[in-house]
Amino acid sequence: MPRYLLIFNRKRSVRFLSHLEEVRALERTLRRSKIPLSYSQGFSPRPIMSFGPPIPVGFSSRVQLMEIKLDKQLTPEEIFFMINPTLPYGYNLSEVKFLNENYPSLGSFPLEISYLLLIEGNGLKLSINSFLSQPYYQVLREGNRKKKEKLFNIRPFVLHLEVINRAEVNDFLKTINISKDPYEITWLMHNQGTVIFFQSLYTTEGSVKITELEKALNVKIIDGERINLTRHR
Amino acid sequence: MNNEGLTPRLLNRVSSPSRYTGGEFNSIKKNWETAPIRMAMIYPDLYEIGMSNSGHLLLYYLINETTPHLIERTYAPYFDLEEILRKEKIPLFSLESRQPLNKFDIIGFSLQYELTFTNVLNILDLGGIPLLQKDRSENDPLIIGGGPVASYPESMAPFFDLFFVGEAEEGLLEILNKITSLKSKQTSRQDILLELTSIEGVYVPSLYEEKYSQEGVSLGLEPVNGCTGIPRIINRRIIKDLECAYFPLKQMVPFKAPVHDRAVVELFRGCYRGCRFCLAGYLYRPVRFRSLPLLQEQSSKIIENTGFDTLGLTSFNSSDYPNLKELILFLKKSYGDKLTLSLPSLGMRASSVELACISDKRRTNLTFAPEAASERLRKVINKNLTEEEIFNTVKETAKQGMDLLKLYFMVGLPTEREEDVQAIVSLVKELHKTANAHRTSKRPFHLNITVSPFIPKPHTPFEREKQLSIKDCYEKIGYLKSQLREPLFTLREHDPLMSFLEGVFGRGGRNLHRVILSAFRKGARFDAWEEHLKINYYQQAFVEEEIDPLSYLEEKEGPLPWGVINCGLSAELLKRERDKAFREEESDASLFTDI
Ligand code: SF4
Repeated sequence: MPRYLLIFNRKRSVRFLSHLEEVRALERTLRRSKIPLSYSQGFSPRPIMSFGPPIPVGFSSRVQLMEIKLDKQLTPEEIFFMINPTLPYGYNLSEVKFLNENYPSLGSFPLEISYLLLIEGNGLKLSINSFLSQPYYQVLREGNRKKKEKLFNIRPFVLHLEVINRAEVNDFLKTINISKDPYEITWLMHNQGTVIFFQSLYTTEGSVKITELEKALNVKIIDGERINLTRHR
Repeated sequence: MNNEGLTPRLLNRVSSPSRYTGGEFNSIKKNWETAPIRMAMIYPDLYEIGMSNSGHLLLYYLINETTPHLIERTYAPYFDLEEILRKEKIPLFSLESRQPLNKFDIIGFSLQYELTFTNVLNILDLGGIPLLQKDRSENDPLIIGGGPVASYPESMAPFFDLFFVGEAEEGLLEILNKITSLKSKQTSRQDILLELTSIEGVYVPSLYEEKYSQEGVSLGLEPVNGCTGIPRIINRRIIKDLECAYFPLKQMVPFKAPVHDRAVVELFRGCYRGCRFCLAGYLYRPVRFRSLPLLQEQSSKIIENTGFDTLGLTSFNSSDYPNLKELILFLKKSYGDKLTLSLPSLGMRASSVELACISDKRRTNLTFAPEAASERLRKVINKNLTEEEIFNTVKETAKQGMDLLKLYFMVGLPTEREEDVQAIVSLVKELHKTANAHRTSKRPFHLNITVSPFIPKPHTPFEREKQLSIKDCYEKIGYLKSQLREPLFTLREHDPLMSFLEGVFGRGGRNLHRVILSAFRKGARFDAWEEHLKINYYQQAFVEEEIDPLSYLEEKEGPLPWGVINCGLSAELLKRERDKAFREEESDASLFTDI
């Protein structure tokens, strides 16, 4: 069965959706679009689809990933033009890729995820440097299903952390090959605070949550945007 | 202020921002500047509750899709948002264009029941609108109430400019058009209200007052002195022909999951039955159907336009729809298991079980409402349901592989005796035995019982009956709980405190608005939510206002507060039905005729 990777933007009000709400909204979009989705077997067939890493409520994104299977082969362009008009306002499809049969499935390989974060207050360089200088940073995590809480080292999952001068955000984005988005950049203008570039590692063994980073740096994140997502080599 | 810029900052601080963002697929944002009339449609509870009410959404689409006017939605803000709005002095806004409520020309409230009254006041207050009708000025919006409560609105009357009684599709269009033409002539607020009384179904409470005889006995509501041209009696409106009536085919696809997360079609309006305690059975007569071909066409379009995987086939007692099986088979044939059908209110009979099974193969439970356990009491309430049918239904449910049955009963029904309450225990135990003897599921059969106190409803044959005191409710429910215990049974109750408030405010007169206002000022919100209901606010309010709530539970004599409203059935018919109830006689409600 042909597989495809879809890459979405999420902006404006849909940035307030939780992961579950986003999954449901996109599933309904696919049903409306009438692309020939493959369904699972059984009493309650569901479209076969998987999603990229969840994003915090309130964050916008240029790289929301979704993988789907179809019963019939279509060109990426055909899929693009079937899905894009049925998306809720705020979502946009930026790319559709045909996936080779032996291409590993979403979630089976590590990812590098980049964010721009807007943080309350100034003078964060010190706390960032002290965080980065340590090999360990343990956080307490709730165990799932009756398991006890356990300590977890988040430091290896923080690849990069850097304060960006507000005036130089656009230049910085260019250096990492990302073009600015006129709407999303407006939050920088509207709000006071420090802009941080943050790159995290997302693997099957673990990842760092934005709230954990917030605690570790002892800051308050006002806003954020996921700007890039690539395969980690 | 840049409204779009305001919201992210605000919304990042509340627990569930998708309640307030709007922007759902199929929501409509019209041009604010060019709309002749701008109306806010409010469902005074949380978004996820409101989104499950198709009535207010029907009007939203009707006006937005078929007229130049604009309607936007608002729901009750949860405590966290209310706190931010009050602290930062931000007026409550609409979901679509985030306009403050006081910028609208009209605000319409969907009034489904009494426990949302304090939310109504909170929303007006947060929207920057004076709570009392008499305090509003020319620039304030007109506040309209619709929904079932608008047929007995007296305890809320002083907060509203007008009520619309009955099904609002045609009437709302007439109201909007009339206001458009009056506004272009600079008509005053008072004159607009006066003019609107010529539209059938419109009730302007400020134009009516209670009159007394020379002996000081209440004669009920009548037009205020000098106001001669207005109707003495307000007739409720209904849509004559449902087949030609508007129905939204591009339905809202919410982000935050509502209680009922599904698309809907409406099979018919009204109810064939006339259970004597039930407002719905009397308010929307006669029954009007949609044809099978129309429903097939609408269903397909709605599924295509929304992408929902569940479709609700809604109506009161939906198994009364003559072609229900054909409709279900058609939808199953077209969509297979990719579409789940939900049948929210099935009548208790064996054939309903079969329908439920073909509509959803995975189904493991069913819900029915026998309401009374003794044959005698079911005759009193005109349930038209025999013991044999009850047992047949339960047998069938067990045979079809289900393992859970939810049953609804009432306590405190007129003429109820001790043995009628005991009958609930024996019936439930017998049904449990029968179910387990016939079950095909591997798991033991479980019965979930919900007990609700009877609340006498206006415009029904029982409108004058006595309501049980809170204490008696707890006693009866306590007895049932002691007899029907876990693990075989689960017994839940509708909170008697809530039933008490519903009964008091439902049958109360205008003076009760002071109690609602005072409870709201003390902090009452979300009274239908067990975790939020603060009965002591109401207790204090009753004391302060010197109103004895218990008197509202008594049998009612004399003119009724809802006497100005005619619901299409004569007082004689209601009286005859009441008499028959006391003679334990049933009626064929499909024979009830309009006056
Ligand atoms: S069946 Fe009885 S309780 Fe149900 S809606 Fe009809 S009249 Fe009311």
